[in-house]
Amino acid sequence: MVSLIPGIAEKLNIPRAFMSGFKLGRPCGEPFDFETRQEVVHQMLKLATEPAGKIVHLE
Amino acid sequence: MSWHHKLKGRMVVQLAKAMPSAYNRFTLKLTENKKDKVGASLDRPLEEARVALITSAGVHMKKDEPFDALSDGDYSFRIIPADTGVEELEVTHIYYDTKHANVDKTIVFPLPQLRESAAQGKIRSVSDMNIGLNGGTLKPERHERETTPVVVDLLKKDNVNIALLVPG
Repeated sequence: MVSLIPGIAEKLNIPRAFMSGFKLGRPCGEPFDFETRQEVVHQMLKLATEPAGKIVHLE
Repeated sequence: MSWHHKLKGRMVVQLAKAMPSAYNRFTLKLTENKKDKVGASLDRPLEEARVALITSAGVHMKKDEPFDALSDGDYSFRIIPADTGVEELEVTHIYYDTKHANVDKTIVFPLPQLRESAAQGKIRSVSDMNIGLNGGTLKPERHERETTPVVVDLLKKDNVNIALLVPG
């Protein structure tokens, strides 16, 4: 899942968290920035193939 | 008591915008410490996976009933089929600033980009059981106890292998 607040993923034991680094209300980037949006989806799918317990940040 | 919820929503949105660190600390403090670990792993190559998108950002189809945001919590969910166009979507939520999501729904629900991933062969397909929830509550117990089992059952019946969750 995309997570915006540092520490939440650890506290909830979320199996795979993607810290997108964007603000609340804009978890997948700015409006109409579809290139970033595609990259967020790509990173989430990549993370889904990893073992549970991983937290990654937008590359 | 809708005025009470409206006021609370405005205060939360303003706190998040004006003092994001304080908002983060406030949210973290109210987050329950979960002991159980979920260890599920993908049992096939990504290219063979069927993927669902889940959002707690209050996304639903315009033709569906909006979430009851002005309440102590709406624990219902909405189903959004894979071929849904962004112009068919609506956002109903009061605990984050929906200004950006209202002009571009993909900011909280990147369904077109997930369809693009399927078209590029990165995944097998997009589920017809994409789910919209209203996560604006400090009492998650009913979501966990009542909503989650029903949603999980729908995802299993649709042979979903991966669920991507996006907040508001």
